[in-house]
Amino acid sequence: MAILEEPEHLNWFRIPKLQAVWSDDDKDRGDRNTITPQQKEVLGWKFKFRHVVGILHTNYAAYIRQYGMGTSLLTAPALNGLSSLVVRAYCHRVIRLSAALPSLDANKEVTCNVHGVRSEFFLPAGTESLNRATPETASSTSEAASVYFIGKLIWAKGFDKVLELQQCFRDATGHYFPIDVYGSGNDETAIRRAFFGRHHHQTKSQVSASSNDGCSSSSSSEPSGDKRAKLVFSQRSSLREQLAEVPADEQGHASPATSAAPHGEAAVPKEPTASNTEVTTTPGGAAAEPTPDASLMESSPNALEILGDLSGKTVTTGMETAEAGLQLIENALQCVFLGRSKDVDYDRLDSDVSNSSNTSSDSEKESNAGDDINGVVDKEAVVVTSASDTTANTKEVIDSSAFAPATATCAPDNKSSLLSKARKLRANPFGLVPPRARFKWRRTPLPARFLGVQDHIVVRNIPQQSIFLNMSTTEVLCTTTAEALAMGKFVLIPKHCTFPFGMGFVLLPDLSAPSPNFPRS
Amino acid sequence: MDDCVAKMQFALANSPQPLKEEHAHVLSWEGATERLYDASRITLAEAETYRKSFAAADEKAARLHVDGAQHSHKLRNWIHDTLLI
Repeated sequence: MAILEEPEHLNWFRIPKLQAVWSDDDKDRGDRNTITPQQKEVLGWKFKFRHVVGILHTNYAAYIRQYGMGTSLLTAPALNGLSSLVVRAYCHRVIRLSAALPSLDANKEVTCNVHGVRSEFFLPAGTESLNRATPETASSTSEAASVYFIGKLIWAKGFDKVLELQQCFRDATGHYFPIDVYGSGNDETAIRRAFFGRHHHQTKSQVSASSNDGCSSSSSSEPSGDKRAKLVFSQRSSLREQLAEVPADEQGHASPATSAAPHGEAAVPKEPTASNTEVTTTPGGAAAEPTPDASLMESSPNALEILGDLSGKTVTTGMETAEAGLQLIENALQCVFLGRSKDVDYDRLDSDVSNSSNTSSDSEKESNAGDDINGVVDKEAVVVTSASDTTANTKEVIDSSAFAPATATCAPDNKSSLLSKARKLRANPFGLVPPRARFKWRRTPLPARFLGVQDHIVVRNIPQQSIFLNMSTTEVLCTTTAEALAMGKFVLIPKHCTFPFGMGFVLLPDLSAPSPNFPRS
Repeated sequence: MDDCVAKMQFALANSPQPLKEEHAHVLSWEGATERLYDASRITLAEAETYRKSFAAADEKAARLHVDGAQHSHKLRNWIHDTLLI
């Protein structure tokens, strides 16, 4: 007997021997006894083992759809077709871990969650974990919020639903609930902004830098990338003159460069601080030549570097806007041809939106630099909103027009929540703006802490942290949900394919309802 | 979402019940292995039905895949030989 984990991945590519092993009109197909040993070797798993079981883990079609134009119309169905072919050819039985995976061969398939949870999650609180340092001190344990989330910090994990929930909770009770967020991810900045609001927004490195005593001397003399650009454009001399200054500066300061090395080390952590919210494409953006004459250099920063930085950012912005545009076109085509709404593309588009909203401000600055130098920093706020809103709004339009529940069990919103959403949209002037763009204008920050990457096991030793909030609906298997259950926490999740108890939200533990993933319970 | 708020309030006000034995077993790897056994086994009758109805078509699928792989391997060899890479 053989068990194949990810049988489609294992069997897509084969390099069999290049000899003819059968003729085209072989009539004895299907009968094991008449197949020669040569043929058996070539035909693969089913002919070498009595019983072959394949376990499907990954939705490859969903991944391939993220790669842009044409993939969802051509490549993803082709990939599914190839996977079906190999699964049919090489397996007797196929187990898919949840209904979130595509059905490759209905005759052979079983849906069952055959994964479990590490045994240390079942041990009672206070037990020493095996090989991980538990960094919790007594003080941080006492501040721990009752509700927590652990996972990648990307919008696909349901953060907009968490934000909505906070709003509804406040409408009902008058205050927000505190939540601790573990993990890191690409959308971390945007998510922090949505939780804390634009004005209270503190990036991770700003928090760590403010508590770092060693580099306080150079902190004020190292302006951010955009402020340096402002300095360059505000000089009286033309850009050409400034660029001519650069070689002279570099020659003159070559010798103090070695003594400047300790300053350089100290300045480097500051640079990522200042430009944390921007996409840096040129490494020249870091550590701009600190010298003993730091005050002099500060007034005429390296113009060439700045321009290189800005043009790099313009290119990136242009690329990302083009990508977002292509994604929109692809969504539109999908609506026309396939009539389905795609959760995966929805989320990728939103990550594009958050990236483009970060970099679009720089391209605007580039064009406005000649006109209104003082207004540069203020314009950033307006531009970011409009960029993110227009692309996000277009996405919303596409979504609502194409909204046909493809698989009834996977639709996360039920009718009543749509109605309440509609009511809120009418009542709230900000209502048409999607949550991600809307919430960053909040005045009071949410009582949330972002605690970085930790193993889920650390939560076991914090008994006050008793509620795991997981609004994500895009996963094949919620391992974190199972781990939280094993630790005896409450788990609040939306009902969807992997925990199909019906519609709405379910508060676990409530394993009494029958479910295909846990057939025994 | 109102349902969710109600559930959140309940969760904040109460502490969860300790995990029951049978639920702990279901969540663990031991329970998972038992589910694997149940999911992967097939009865003799099922095997017989399979052999009669699907096996021929499946073998055809396997041959198709292998032929395709052989053709692309030949093509790759030809490209290498012609272009002398």
